[in-house]
Amino acid sequence: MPEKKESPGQRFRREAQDDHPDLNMTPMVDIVFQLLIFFMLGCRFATTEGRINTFLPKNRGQGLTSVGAITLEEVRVKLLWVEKNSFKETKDPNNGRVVLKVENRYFKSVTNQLRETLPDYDALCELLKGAVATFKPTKSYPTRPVIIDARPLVPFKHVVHALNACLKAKITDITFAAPEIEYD
Amino acid sequence: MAAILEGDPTNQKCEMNMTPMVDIVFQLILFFMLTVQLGALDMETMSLPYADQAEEQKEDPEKIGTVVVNINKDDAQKGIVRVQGREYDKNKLAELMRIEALRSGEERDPQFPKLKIYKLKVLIRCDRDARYETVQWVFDACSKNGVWKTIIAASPTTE
Repeated sequence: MPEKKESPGQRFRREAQDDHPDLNMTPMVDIVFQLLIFFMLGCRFATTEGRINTFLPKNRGQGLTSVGAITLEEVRVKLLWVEKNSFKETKDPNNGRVVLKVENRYFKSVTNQLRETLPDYDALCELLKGAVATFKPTKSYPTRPVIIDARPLVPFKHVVHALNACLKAKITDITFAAPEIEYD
Repeated sequence: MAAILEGDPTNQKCEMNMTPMVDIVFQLILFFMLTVQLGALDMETMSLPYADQAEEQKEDPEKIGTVVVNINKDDAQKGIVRVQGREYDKNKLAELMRIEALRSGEERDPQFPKLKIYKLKVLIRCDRDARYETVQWVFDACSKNGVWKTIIAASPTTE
């Protein structure tokens, strides 16, 4: 029996039925990789970050009231920027060190677990705890007030260490001293 | 990898099946889409000072806006701070505080009835080695504009 020849129309119909349209995936993969790179670069993993609430005095800075007098109840924690070989204050940012002073006591430097040489803030905390224990609350001062008086050239980490020592000693009335005004 | 052999064994084509790879790539995209925080652009990367008394961030129940001030060590030497990626000097920051304070709304303190104080909170993220003087003038800008709630960012761990 002779083979039945396919007409062009029949062959076209057969090919159209047999042909499954293929979706070219290559551009999609390209775009997907672009998106992946974008989100990988934009991704920031959460880091542990804590907060210390510090409230500025409401009645200062707007020029409405004068600065209050220093009282005997206050503990003034001074962070000074002094010369490397003495306790004389300096304004040289490249040749100085930080010294912690409370009243007439200078705190020695210790090396912490990060191998940093810092003033002994643990000793400061103990001193503040003693100050809290001996404090007699008054109407004006229900808790022992502490003023952190740091010089402008002192690195910020020292201010935070001093603040941390105050919080450890359960001191809540903490004020940052205003910067000194220079008179020419 | 699956290999599909087609045609004449002497002329074999080895095609790589891309389907699992596309699946995995989609999984990765989903992961990074869910973890990326595009709104955290104002939290610049820096070494924060260590304070073990620092508390974890809590949700603000009043949902009052917080201005995040970033102080890098290099920027601090130039007398510049950054808020949402923009640079501010002392005067521009004071102006920004004034605008944001007004936007946040006023609050009253019966102890100081004549004072204008605002609900705005300012989060200060300062590099541990930056000079304190920059933080001082941020405090100054806050005080002058009735902003009294400040928050200092610190790392509760030494890592």
